[in-house]
Amino acid sequence: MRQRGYNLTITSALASALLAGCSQNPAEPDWDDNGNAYARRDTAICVDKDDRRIDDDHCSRGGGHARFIYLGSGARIPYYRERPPFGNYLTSPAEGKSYSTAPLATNMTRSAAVSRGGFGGSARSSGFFGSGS
Amino acid sequence: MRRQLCDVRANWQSIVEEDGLVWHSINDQTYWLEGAYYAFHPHEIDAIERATAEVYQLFIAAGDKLVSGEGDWLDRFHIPRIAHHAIREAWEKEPPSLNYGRFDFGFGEDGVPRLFEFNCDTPTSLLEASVIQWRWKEGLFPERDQFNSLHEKLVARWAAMLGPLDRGKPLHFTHAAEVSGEDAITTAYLRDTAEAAGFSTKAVFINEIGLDAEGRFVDQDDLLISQIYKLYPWEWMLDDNYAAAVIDQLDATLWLEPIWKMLWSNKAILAVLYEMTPDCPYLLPASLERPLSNSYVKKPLLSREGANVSIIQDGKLLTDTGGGYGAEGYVYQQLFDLPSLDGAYPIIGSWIVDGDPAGIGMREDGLITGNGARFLPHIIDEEPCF
Repeated sequence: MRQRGYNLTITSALASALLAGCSQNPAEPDWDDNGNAYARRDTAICVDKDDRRIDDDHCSRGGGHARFIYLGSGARIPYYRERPPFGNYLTSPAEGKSYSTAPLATNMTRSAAVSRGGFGGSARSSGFFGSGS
Repeated sequence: MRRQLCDVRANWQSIVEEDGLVWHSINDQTYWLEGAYYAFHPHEIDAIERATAEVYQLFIAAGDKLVSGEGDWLDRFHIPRIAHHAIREAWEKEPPSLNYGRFDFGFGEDGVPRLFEFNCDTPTSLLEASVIQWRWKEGLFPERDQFNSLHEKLVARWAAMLGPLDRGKPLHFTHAAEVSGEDAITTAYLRDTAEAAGFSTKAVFINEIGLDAEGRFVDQDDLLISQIYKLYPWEWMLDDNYAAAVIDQLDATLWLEPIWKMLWSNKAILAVLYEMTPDCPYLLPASLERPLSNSYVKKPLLSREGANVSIIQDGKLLTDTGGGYGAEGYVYQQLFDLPSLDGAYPIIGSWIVDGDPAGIGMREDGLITGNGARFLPHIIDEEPCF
């Protein structure tokens, strides 16, 4: 029954992100006619060394050049592989502010010829806790 | 089984948060409660371990019966017909599976665990049982033992799947976004156990999953999903817009847990188990048609967090809970006289990984264990029980 040697890299990193205020419930963005999304809340996004947006998972895992940057409310949210507007973000969170994750609808490359959103409808009607039993 | 009061650790919140338990307190209520703990005699642990292993065998026998073609069991379980063939096929072929779950037992003074239900499709309270309570024990009772080999058994189970699964492709993990962080962290913890076994993993929110032009599942980066763990119930998947695609793509996308878990996670199986082995000491009399006595618990076939449960004692409603479940029908299970320890009603969550008992987690609440339940740690010691 003895156990030792946990390696909880992903768990701990995600917990830190959640405690830092990265909400799991991003607000729906505002849209313009060109399909650009604009944050309704202060939003943290993950970028690579070239400042191109990548999935948050890269930042949660740590290592490499992935890092979070912080967009203010009203800023345009880049899709994957796109850059945020130059100079329109912070490289560390503003004091006293909490940041949401990016809206799910922006978590894709713009050229993706796929449908999305076919799962999750049942979860939206559940309560504080999620899908566990 | 004794409930002992004790001092909490200084900065306990920071300690458990460091290991991922960010939902330790919810709306000013403590979920992770370490101001008390449960102490079990080794004989009691033996009894729980034995019951867990034997009840698991009963579930296997029940699964064989349900897919045998005799009777209309899958209809009686209110499983959508689109899934019937897939369930039967998966049961027979046994695709790779973590095959883990948590039996919820009541435990009275006679020392015989009584099965309440089996949470084996999307079981939670996993991190608490595996990591958080172990670290608590190591901090306060390093000389004592705990019934807990969950982490090691999960890693070993993933390692056993390195062959059947394709380690050259990412193993995706998905869940729905929710407020507490419980699903996100529970899924992250399972990713850690999979990576410890040698898998390369990737996270995707359930509603980021898409279909490509050929009808195949892709992730947020348009990468094909060939193997994916989901903390998202099968009955929800089959109620969502991609239900037909899931069934159609079962050969292209391997879902963990497999679709046959719809048999075991449905509370209708409690009636099947009792019908098959009415003399089993671990089973409470249960029926899909009617109460078998005038003191019983009425449970929806599909529900979560103790929702829509009613307790009837001597023919009168004792207590019940609300919620949005129950459309599929109910199972009637004989009422078990749960012991009250310091005013709390404890239930034992007994974990199993591919047939091996793997440890326990204790939760306590009112007569119905629901969203307000607290999780408490446990130890094993030689003191007399009760």
